[in-house]
Amino acid sequence: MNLAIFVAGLALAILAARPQSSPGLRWAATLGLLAILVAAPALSSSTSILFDALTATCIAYGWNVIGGFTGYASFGNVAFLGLGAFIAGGFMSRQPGHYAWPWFLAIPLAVIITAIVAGGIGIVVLRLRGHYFSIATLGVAVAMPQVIQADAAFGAHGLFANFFGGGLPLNFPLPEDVQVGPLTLDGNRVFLYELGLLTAAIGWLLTWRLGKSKFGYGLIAIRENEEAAEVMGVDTTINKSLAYMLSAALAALGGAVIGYKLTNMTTEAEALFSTTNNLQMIIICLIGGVGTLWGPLIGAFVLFGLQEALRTVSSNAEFLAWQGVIFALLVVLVVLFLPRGVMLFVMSRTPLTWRVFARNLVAHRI
Amino acid sequence: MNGLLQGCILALVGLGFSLVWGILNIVNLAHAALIMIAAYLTYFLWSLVGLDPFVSLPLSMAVLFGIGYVLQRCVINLVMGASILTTFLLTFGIEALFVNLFLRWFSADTRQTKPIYANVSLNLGPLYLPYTQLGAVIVALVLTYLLYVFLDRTRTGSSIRAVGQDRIAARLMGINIAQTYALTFGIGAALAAASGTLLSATSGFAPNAFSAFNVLAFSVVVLGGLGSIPGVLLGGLVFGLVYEFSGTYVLAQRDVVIFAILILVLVLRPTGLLGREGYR
Repeated sequence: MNLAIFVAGLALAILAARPQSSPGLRWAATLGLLAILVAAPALSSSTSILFDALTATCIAYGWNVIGGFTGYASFGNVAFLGLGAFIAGGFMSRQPGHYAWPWFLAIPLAVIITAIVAGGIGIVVLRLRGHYFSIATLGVAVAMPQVIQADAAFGAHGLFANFFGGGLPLNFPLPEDVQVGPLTLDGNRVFLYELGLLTAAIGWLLTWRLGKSKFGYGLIAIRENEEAAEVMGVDTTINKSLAYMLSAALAALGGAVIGYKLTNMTTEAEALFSTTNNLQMIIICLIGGVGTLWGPLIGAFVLFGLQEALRTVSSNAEFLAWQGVIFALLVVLVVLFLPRGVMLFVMSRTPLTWRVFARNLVAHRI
Repeated sequence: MNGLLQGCILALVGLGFSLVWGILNIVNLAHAALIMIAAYLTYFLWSLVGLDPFVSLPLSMAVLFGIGYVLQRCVINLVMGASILTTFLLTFGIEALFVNLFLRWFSADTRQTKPIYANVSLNLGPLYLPYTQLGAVIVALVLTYLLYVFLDRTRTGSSIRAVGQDRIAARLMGINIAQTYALTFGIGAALAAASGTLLSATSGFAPNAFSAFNVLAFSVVVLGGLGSIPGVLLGGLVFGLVYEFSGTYVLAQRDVVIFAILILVLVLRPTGLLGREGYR
């Protein structure tokens, strides 16, 4: 059933993204997509993979702001994903010395704090360009888990004593079941899923507004030619910093909701900071189409739909064992054969033939 | 002292990375995977055939040269004209592919190549110098010198430097660009293999232990200055010392210290300590 939802969602998203369709049809497709996704828990018995796809969509929208619109290839947004998850976890945890705050307080606060941290990091790393920027952000991703484990700041006698658990896991209960009229909404299966959907919707809405705003045009100008943008009166430093903060905020939002689902986070939570998480947001944008409104959503649906399809044709254990290899292989193949993503076929009238892939393959050879 | 010994190996890690970056203008994020392949090759040659790591060194360098040559010739050459994001993602994808394959095949167990002289040290008064470390330093210094001579004195070396300086002019002079790129990447991979072999003998390793070497190699090259062989050596030694001191005195968060230095250098002196235009 999840596979059917992915396919239907993909079809509607492509319909909504097509510039040839009439505005009425595009809006109808968008609302139809939203309706299917809202109703998904009623249609499917397990919403776990849909939840993963939607939170990944939100994080990918975040990367899209800095990597797609602004053209700064960040390789360290996973740091903000993990930081957001841990800050929200620190506020929600019921361990002694923690606040046990509800999610609607903890998650927005985590997003804001992460954005501020990203602003501070951005002031330094955004002075760099090209390779240097990418590696510096990769360095942020390598350093962040170590900062979270740092005894000096977060240890027993540190500045924020044991905020990140100090070796003990942060834990908090799953959301309780919600009673809406005669319906009981399962806390884990329905409520958390809808929260994941909300993050993706926020990512979409922000990107939609961004594409129409002066700020968004400023970012695109920076991507195309930073010196020219500066000359034309775009304050590049402010614009870049805000884009980086927005990007980090969306990563933190997705990360905090993923962390909420974990209910138990240890300071060694390598999964949150993993290379796979780091690559995933970029490859989702690449599969869909970098710097576009619908690209990240389409990319996430293709990636997770593919995973779901593989899981149905093979045994689950077998799939999990080869997951990393398949994912890495997919990264290499997408970069070589489809660097402009599915949006290449959606935006223009390029027919879907093997010739297109062959042309992409040799387009940038020396 | 230990920091200086470690620093020579770090310099070797940075050397291949610096060559590829300086000539091809690619930040090769698959560098750590190449080091990993060589480390496993050395380990299995030692445990199955009984070959000493210092004897198998030329062999693993030759194998990795082949892998690197084919990788560049058949895959990476396809994206040489594309954006930075593309080459980054491609090499990062290749890295993730190898690491995941090795995790599948060899599990995450920590291994180490331990020849009979592994725990024997040379005693110089208060100093204890393990023989494997000492041998590693000699190999690292010799290879650094050989690369310098190769680039500076031979015809092929000149053509590699010419391609690095101006690709179009080099092509007009009759240099085969695609082949020179593949050759350069192969040499970079062979140098990575040398550092992988030495690392497998001086410390324990597992497939996912290598990813830090990409950022480390980058830091070494940036600190020393891109395009300078003595610079890489200096950068490696400085980072070896930093690693040693931050491990003992500051905190366990070594990578944070390395990263802070990297950022400071990038912002204050982007050309590094000994960097200049072109490759020397």
